[in-house]
Amino acid sequence: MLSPKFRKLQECLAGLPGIGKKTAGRLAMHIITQDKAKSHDIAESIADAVDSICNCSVCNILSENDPCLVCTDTDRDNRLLCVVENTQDVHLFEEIHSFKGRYFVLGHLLSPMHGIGPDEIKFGLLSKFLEENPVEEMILALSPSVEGETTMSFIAEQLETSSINLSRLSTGLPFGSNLEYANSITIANAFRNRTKV
Amino acid sequence: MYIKSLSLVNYRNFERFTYTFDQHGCLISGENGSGKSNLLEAIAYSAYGKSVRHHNDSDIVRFGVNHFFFQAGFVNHDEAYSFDIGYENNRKVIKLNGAILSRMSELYKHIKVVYFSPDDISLVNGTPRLRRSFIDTAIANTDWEYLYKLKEYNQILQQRNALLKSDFEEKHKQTWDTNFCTASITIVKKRLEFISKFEKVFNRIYSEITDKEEEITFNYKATLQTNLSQRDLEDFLFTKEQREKEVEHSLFGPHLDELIIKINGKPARDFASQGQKRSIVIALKLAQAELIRLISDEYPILMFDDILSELDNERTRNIIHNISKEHQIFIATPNADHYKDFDLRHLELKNENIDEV
Ligand SMILES: [Zn+2]
Repeated sequence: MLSPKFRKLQECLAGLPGIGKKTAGRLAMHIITQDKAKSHDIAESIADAVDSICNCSVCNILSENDPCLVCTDTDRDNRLLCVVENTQDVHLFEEIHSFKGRYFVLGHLLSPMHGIGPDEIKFGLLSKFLEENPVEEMILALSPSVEGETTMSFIAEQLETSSINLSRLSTGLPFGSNLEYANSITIANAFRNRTKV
Repeated sequence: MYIKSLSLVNYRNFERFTYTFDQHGCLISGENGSGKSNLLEAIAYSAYGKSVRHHNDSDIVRFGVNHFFFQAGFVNHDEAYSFDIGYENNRKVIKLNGAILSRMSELYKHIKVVYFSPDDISLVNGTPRLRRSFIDTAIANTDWEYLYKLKEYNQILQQRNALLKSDFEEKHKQTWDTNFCTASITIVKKRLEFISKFEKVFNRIYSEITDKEEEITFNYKATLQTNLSQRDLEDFLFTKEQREKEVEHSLFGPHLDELIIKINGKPARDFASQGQKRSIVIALKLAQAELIRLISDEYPILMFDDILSELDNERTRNIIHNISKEHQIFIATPNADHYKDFDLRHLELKNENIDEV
């Protein structure tokens, strides 16, 4: 009989995206049987990360600091704002060093099927950001899926009367693709060839 | 184009089946339950990536096992294509020339099959969904990106329906409405363009089949008036917002549009005789094949699944006899004698065995 604690661990792991019950079982077994110090390390870093990482109250990036390191970085170009879906996208763009402006993280894309509306994509916080940090250009760097496209149109429509130049990453990115899967050359090119909305 | 080779493993009643075809195709005979239709279905599967008889993959697996596999070789304009499909425990992988296909619609680009089935009569008698799906398939035969547009439309529709169920903000709905209108216009335009081309080809074929002077017209009834501007359409949806909110789903859009087939100005469904309906149905499919030929300069493979009654008509039979000289053609029938004059190899299926006659 499986121990209830083992089963609990397996269930927790199976709740993670992309992990099925079988894989969860394998991972749980590995965690239990490997060097105990390593497993404690995992447990502690999970607890530590969960406790100390939160959303930046300015730009919504996940960070240990509030405001985050990007928002407090004085070398940043405050005239440029890049709007992304999540903090991973920020990491992706930072890695290729082709963008020196600020970021805003929506956290989601509009999707009524998942109960995601303007509030969930932090549109209020974005408006506040723009009031406090008047930017000249805003780059909408969302995946070209139905939800990504709709989110970009939504933001563009709401900012129609503002003087901000809106652009979006050029469609070197295939439709329906996820930014996560695009390689950095594609992303860098997309940045260079961004087009006006 | 033609299919050159076919290997099946655990596909329906075939535990193992391998055969090499010639360019003309073949006549497949056998008693009911011998697997004639299954063989045809397997060939058509490679063109559509799914069963043309609307069966689930789990039903295609031979009884008692959990996987099927098949490999088909096609030749098109002297170029060879190989196509593999493997299915195991609800997972399916399709490969074209060894590369995994991420989109089923890619198949439409390469392999063209028109499938005539005894159920086709429901194209006249059945629900509007069947006629919509017929036009959509026929468009995709020569414009595979259309499937993609259709998928996009359906995603937007689902999101919009979810929105109508929720307590939404007006500005949020506005954005979905805009997308919904744009996507609808694209779909309807493609369909209308197609229908106007199709109607001409259809009537030429129909008059060859029947010697009478009936005129068949195709009347596309759009639920959204697509001659309106984008802005007018959005305004229209706004005026219907209350009603759509009440029913909690979209009441307009190409997913609800109807294609009405008329005979001398009256709906064929109610006014055509049984014989006229059969002629309409066969002309629909022949016109589908003819448009593929006209637009993409390829001769699609034609498959006739046991439609003997349609082929009772001497004129229809002559047309098919004629086009069989250019298309690869497969006929599944319990009565092979009926097609003696067709220049086709004859396979007889008997208890899962195959005899060349
Ligand atoms: Zn920040």
